[in-house]
Amino acid sequence: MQLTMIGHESWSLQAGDCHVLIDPVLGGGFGSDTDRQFAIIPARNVDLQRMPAVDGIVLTTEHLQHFHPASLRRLSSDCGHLLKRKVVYVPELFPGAAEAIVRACGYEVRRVDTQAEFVIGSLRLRFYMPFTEVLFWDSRVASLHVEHQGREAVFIQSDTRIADAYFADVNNGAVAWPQVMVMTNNFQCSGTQGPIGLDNLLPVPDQRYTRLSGLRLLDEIVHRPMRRLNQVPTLLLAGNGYRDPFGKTHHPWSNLELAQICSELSLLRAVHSLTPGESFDVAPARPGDPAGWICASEEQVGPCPPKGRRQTVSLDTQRIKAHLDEMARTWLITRYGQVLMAQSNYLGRPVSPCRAVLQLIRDDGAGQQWVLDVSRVEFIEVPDEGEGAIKRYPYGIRVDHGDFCKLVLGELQIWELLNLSASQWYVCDRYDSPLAFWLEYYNEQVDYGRALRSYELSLVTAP
Amino acid sequence: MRAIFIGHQTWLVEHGSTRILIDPLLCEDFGLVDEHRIEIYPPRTVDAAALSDIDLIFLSHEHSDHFDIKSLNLLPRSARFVVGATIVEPVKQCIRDLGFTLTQVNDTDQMRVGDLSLRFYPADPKTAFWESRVTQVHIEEAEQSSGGIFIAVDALVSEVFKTDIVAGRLVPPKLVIVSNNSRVSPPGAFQSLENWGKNASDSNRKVGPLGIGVLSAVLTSYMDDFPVQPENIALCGGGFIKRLGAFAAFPFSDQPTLSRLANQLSLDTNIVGLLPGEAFALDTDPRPQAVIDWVQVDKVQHNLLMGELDQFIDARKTVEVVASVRPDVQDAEAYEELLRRAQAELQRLAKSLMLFITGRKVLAMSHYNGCKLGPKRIVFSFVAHALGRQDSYALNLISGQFEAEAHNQLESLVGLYPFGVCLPLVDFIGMVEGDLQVWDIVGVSVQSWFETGIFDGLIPFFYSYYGENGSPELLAKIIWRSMRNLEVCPCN
Repeated sequence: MQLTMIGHESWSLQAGDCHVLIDPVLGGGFGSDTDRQFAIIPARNVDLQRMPAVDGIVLTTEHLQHFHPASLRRLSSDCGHLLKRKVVYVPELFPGAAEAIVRACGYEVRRVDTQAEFVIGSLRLRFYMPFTEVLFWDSRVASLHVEHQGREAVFIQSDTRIADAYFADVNNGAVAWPQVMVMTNNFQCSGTQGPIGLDNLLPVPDQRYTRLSGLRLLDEIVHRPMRRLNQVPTLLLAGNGYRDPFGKTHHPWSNLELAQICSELSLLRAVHSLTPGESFDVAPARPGDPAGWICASEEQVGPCPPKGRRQTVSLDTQRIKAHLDEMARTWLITRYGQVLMAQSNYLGRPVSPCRAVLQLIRDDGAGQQWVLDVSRVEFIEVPDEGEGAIKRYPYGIRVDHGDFCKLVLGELQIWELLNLSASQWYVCDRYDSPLAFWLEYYNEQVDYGRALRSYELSLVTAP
Repeated sequence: MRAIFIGHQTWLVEHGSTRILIDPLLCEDFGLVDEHRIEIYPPRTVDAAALSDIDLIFLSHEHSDHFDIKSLNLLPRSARFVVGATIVEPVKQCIRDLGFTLTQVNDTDQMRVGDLSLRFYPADPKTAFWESRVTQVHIEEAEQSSGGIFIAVDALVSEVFKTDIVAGRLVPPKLVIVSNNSRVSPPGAFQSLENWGKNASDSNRKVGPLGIGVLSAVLTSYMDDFPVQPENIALCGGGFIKRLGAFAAFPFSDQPTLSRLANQLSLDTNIVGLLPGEAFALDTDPRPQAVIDWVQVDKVQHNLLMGELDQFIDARKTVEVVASVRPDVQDAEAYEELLRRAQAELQRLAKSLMLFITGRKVLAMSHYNGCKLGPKRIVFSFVAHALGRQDSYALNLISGQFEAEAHNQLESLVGLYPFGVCLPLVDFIGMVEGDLQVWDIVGVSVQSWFETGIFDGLIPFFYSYYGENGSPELLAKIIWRSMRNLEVCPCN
């Protein structure tokens, strides 16, 4: 078997004349907004005409770095002759909206139960889902085990913890021991361009970035999983292969750097990383010949500035209020609400029942400020306090007004919003924070309508 | 203030005109039994004359990689000698016999010594039994406490120390010194706590990114509940070798390499890894610092040892278990006599063993290797290679007695018993009767195997029961012999 890196976490896996694509993102980037695309790095051109014919496509998750409707459509419409079978294999809990779009792109969708073997050509595959100890928005992600002729195997970790069942299956021989395992590194932090993701605007140290964070990262993604396998495979580090449109995301370590450090700390097993187009031969566990159909292309030096003025969307205040009040109920009955209830003091002063604030920011200064009143379970519009709100409320989200409306309309995904214009502050664990709640609330998995609309739009706007 | 690394876990802390020496190993080797002294790694020489003006010597605990009589004999008797109150009596007596004035500390009150201020802390009670007498020391500048040095080696960080920081009684240290005692053994080699039931050369204990675990253990897990993250953490420890065949230095024991890699992975804390003779200064002292030319690393030998390790791993070499550390027994009659003494010893230790973690763990097991366990669950097997003899005894948990076991092959014993040890009869008797220390035979002539955790087996039992902690009378015997051979030289 030969594993080829297409970019970020997209893979091509070949054994003899059998070829499987895993989570294919084949263009220059991904994202719902044409003007604000997330670019795959290092940049590369995927020449589909030279790509070996495909026996099947596997999707491990609906997250937009893995599930790219435009790539699927391009394959089926422009390169249909390269698809021996138009079948996409997905994990058992793959969201219905995503499945509908895959079908609309011309594919048959086969849901496969976790750990159940499915066959594509000469390859035997299994999904593994961890089920427990994962964040809600990663809870439907499956990793993939692929075997060829019972004697060579590769494991590709997706954006989730490796399932306990996988270690058990390998150690007791239920599946072939993988000569190669792909481990995922998603560590990123805010750069000088402002906070990203769940980072905190308050100047408090975040445990994620302190106390030798790189060592803790390697312990979590490399060392501990390896201690659970009786026999240690050769490792490939992958992930973090994209850049947000504004260059806000900072990667303290490249996968190559991490792999080199791991190798120095390893006995008899080197750790590798691949750039797009590079391949790895599974059975001998060593680098293979690069794929001719994936070529490095000139990389944009910096983040691309938006072309002209973006098209903005606006909703009237009544509609925003109705939407927010609906959200308030869910917020307060979950653990995210519990942290608000428990917060009686902030900066040395007692806090009122209004404990979280949402600031919808506009370039013209006509921003809105909404506060969540936990005693009334509703959002109330109050005069905009600007950045002063951070001193008054223990929890808050600041987000571009237009982007928020797009989110509500399903034109932007929550994960994108977090990396484009949303920021927050909080006095709790990062995973109990307001934007963590939004990651759940606006998740593609629980919001069929919005998810479907965002997928449809991504097809409409695809280059 | 600066800390000079002298090797293994020996440090000299200097500020102004005050110099404090911690756990002095000053010779090229150490050990309380002359025939079994262990080489310091990286190899270096120390000119003890440079220490003739030290103000204070502090001994963290009594283990031979901290307490070396030959080294102490090189030091000025004018230096005040401080130990924790729990240190075993024979060590205190030895220090007095060497001519030092001994101070025992039993509180965390500040002790002023010239330009420095010291506080002593008892190790966290969750520390392994055999390290439970460790005292940790905090050293800061007497005039201004802007953060000092905390030496936390060989034990978990003192609860009292952490409380002092949280309560604001102590400025958090700028430098914490931790010990890397991992001693990872590569494929083909073995270490003191080796599990001979699970040490196949391709296992996950021998192959793979084990160095990440080493660093995590000392730099993150160990420091997890430290109240504040110190600016600097210095690695030391693991600074000795037991030469067996073509294998000597352990992987991941080169502190400069480890600190370089750890710093690449750190966004905040600075990791310090020094070679002997190198110093770490906490601040830029305007006065010129004295050059350390009195500690010299043997660079040629150091490189040779590192090269030897790489070659050992790459060429998949192996080392054999040593037939015996003590001269092996040569005739059947002597063997029978030793065996009778071993049998008597087994009956003596049975109760302690059942109450120790090993006994508790084995009692909680119902099956082993897929079979229901009977009452006999722990086995001791004694060998005399010269005579081709082997006799095994298993502990019956119902009778509380050791009973003869017919199986003698290591493989069958490992298959039948979840916990066991196989060792030369002469070495067992040598340890029991104080002719050598447990440290002299583990990782050399002893093979033990265990289930559950690495601290649950029979070697930890030996450390605790026959080590200085549980058997100070054995240590007294060894010290007495060492002192008899020593030409006590009052240095001033």
